[in-house]
Amino acid sequence: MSAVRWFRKGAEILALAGIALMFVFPFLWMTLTALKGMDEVHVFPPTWIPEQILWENFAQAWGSGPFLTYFFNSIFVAVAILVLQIVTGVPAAYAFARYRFRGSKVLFALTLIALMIPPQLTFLPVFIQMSEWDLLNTYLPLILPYAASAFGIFLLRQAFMQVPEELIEAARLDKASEWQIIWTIMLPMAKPVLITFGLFSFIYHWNDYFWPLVMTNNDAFRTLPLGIAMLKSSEGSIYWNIVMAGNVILVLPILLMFFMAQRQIIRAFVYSGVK
Amino acid sequence: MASVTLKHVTKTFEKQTVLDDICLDITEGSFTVLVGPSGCGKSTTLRIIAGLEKETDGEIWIGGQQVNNTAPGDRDIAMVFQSYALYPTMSVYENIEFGLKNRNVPRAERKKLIDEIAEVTGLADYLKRKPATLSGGQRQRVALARAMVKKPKVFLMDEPLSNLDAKLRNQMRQELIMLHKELGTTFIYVTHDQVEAMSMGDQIVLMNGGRIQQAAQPLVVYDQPSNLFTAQFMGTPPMNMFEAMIDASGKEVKIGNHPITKPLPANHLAALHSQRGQRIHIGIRPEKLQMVSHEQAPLSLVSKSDGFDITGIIDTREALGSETIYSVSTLYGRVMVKSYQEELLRVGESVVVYFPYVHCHYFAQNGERIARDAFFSTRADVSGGV
Amino acid sequence: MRAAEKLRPYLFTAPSMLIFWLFFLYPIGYMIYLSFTSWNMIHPVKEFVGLENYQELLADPDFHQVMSNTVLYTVLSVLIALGLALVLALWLNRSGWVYSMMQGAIFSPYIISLVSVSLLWLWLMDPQYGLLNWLLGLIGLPPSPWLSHNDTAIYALVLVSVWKMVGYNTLVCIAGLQSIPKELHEAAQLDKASVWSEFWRITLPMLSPTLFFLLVVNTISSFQVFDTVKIMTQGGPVNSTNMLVYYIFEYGFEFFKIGYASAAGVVLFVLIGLMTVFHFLILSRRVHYR
Repeated sequence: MSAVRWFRKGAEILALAGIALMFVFPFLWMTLTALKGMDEVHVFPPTWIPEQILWENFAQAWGSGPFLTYFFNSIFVAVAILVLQIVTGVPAAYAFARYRFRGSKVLFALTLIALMIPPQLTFLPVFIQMSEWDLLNTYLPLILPYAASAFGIFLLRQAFMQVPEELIEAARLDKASEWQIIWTIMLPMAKPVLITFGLFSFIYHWNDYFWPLVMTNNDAFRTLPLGIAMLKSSEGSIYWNIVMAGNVILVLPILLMFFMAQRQIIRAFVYSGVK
Repeated sequence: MASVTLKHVTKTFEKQTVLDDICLDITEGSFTVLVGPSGCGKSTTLRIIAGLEKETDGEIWIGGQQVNNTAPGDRDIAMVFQSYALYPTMSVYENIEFGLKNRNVPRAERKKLIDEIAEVTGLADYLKRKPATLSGGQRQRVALARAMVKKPKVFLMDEPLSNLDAKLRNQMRQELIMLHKELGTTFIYVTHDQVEAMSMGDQIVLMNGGRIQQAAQPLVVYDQPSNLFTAQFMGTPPMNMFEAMIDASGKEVKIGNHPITKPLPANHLAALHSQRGQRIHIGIRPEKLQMVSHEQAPLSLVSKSDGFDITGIIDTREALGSETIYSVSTLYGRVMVKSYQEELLRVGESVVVYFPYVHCHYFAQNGERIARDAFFSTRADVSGGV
Repeated sequence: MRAAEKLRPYLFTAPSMLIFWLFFLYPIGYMIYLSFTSWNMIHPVKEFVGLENYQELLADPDFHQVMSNTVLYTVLSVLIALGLALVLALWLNRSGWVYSMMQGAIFSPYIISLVSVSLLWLWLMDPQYGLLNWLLGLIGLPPSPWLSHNDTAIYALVLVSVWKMVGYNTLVCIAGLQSIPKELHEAAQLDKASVWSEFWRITLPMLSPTLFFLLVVNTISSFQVFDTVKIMTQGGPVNSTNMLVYYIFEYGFEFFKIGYASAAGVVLFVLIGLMTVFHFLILSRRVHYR
């Protein structure tokens, strides 16, 4: 009996390990490749441990374009978007959660529509709008369309609706202004939701390739994913070790965040679906 | 300290009348209890005084100033909520401080005031804690401290004790009465609990269906209920109520189809004269009834009691220790009797229930009290000595 | 004072609503308008051409191929990713560090940039030096051309999509499983239900809203596949991986046929709109359980 159980347990662990490997090993392989020399990359069957660990691959990848600019742009754009989304989203969520006003249904429907329209649908007309407004060579096309988040408004509205009415009334009796109620009472209470949303938004925009690709045609405004993708296409034959080194640079911050806050990040993304 | 006056206050919400022409004078320094069943409008009245809800019509005056268009924060009032409504992300200290900060009280003075109030409420050791880590009673104190520190003209309390367990509630009741004595501020207190209303208030405002039924001192409400509703709301078990008929001559009174055993005294009949030929309600409180076993009846009470009687059989008995509540089925219908006798009667026992005339209340068919003279005599004897 | 109070909700919502209007709703209308014009982005005049773009679109054999590629890709990746996720969810819905590590591991591809995912798999699928062909050799199979042949390229993209999506689907399923009241399973066990009938009678019906949600969301997102196509295949070989968004992108940003690209965009809009309406219809009829 117990021997059978041990065998089954062992088989399960083995199977789990196999599955885990399928998902994790590519990252490992990426890192290993990033450390190899080009001649070793072109060895078949492949070698596991690099004969010579070439850290300079990272420097080479970094030096092959204006990567400092890309890196700065990525951070700047993701942070600017997040800040704007909170500044616009918190009052809107509060209004939807707490006020009854004429037209609220229409405005909420607009929010719903915005939630369902993907950027892949709007990129062409928005690009043309941006060029008509002469904004193409600025950060604005990258930031402005994301300055409000329907998803964020949804999450925050939900959180605000759970705050008991009496708490707000107590604050009114304490002579707090509406603005104060929002930022000193409601927002601290919605902190977990805010963190969830912050992680979601930052990761999404850090990773985003499509929108910056469409909206930039100038290195000064390109973001890291674009730079990394260009590592591949810049020359005729692909220097896989350099490409993978760039890839590690792109992935590492997110993987580190994931290690540190796995629970919150999973909740951020899964919650976005389950609601 | 301030008086509060409501003049013809009306509130309608989605075409429903929540408050109907409320006129109310709350004297300076009084402890006024708004009491009534849920949905009677008592909370709405309180919230309109606080400014948390907007009246549809009427005037609200606090301390000789009309405050209809004054924001809640500027009305110089404080409110204690049922759920306490403590700010969960702030410490006890910050909770108490928040209102002072918004009133631009300087930091040093804030600290002094908070330390004072913490001392009074016994919260000195908890100032750094978050509300979530406190017990129910402690949270209650924080809510009180937060209200008191503002030194408001009027204290409003919306069922502040209903989240506490029975023992703590009794204790807090005492403390609130003491607190009111010390502060001398006007208290307006909302509750659905008639015991709280009786024990704490020096004025009771009994509400039902968006109207004030009676506003008076507690014992007046108890002894001279202004109408059927008031009579039956106060007291447990509620006042026994019987439908009766006065014949055209105004001399004979029947309860149901049964003439009462002894005619009513002359002064009662005089008071009921206007009702002759009509239906009325006769009410009597369970503790005012006297009841003896059928066998002993002739010996004990009949002679000395100036009242009528009815025989019946005990259906149920609730022995509560200090008192016993019997439900007796009689020809008049079910009669509730509250007895303080040490000796208990048995369920199924045949009994005689006596109705002393002095304790009978009469209500007209429309529910209004029919006044009669010399009612207060029994109570006057007792309270006069105290 | 009162007027300010009345205005407040509008002030609070205005910034967000302006953004939604300018960058979500209005562009859709603008795109529909553009789809009736002929314009190359440089010429000052947008010439009105009626339904010409749509006629051209429907007549284009490339577009037919693009549509069938998109549908094939969507159906395959959604069904595989959902089926695998269901199995994995039932397996991994357990407490203990092993299972939570596993959940983290299979979820990790989901939070990685598609750029990284694409480059990584491009390298793994390299016909000459790629790890995948080495693995195939290891189990005695002939090497596959992966992305470099029009018979296999789209399946290779499906593989990448499944690898990225399955972790997300699994965790959503696990959340769904955990929201099924324990009492239901206990009641079934007291009724002596077999594991099999417990799955069919209780677990699956109770999970069906979750699965339906995933089906819709996965379908909509698969329809919009772009990044992997752009980085891994550029639609090739011989158009075998060209899909709708990439097609719109090419016509808009490489051939500058704005009106034509907009017409294709309107097709995508209609498809996504239909999916969404379908979703809401089903939701409002509550087909789930009971």
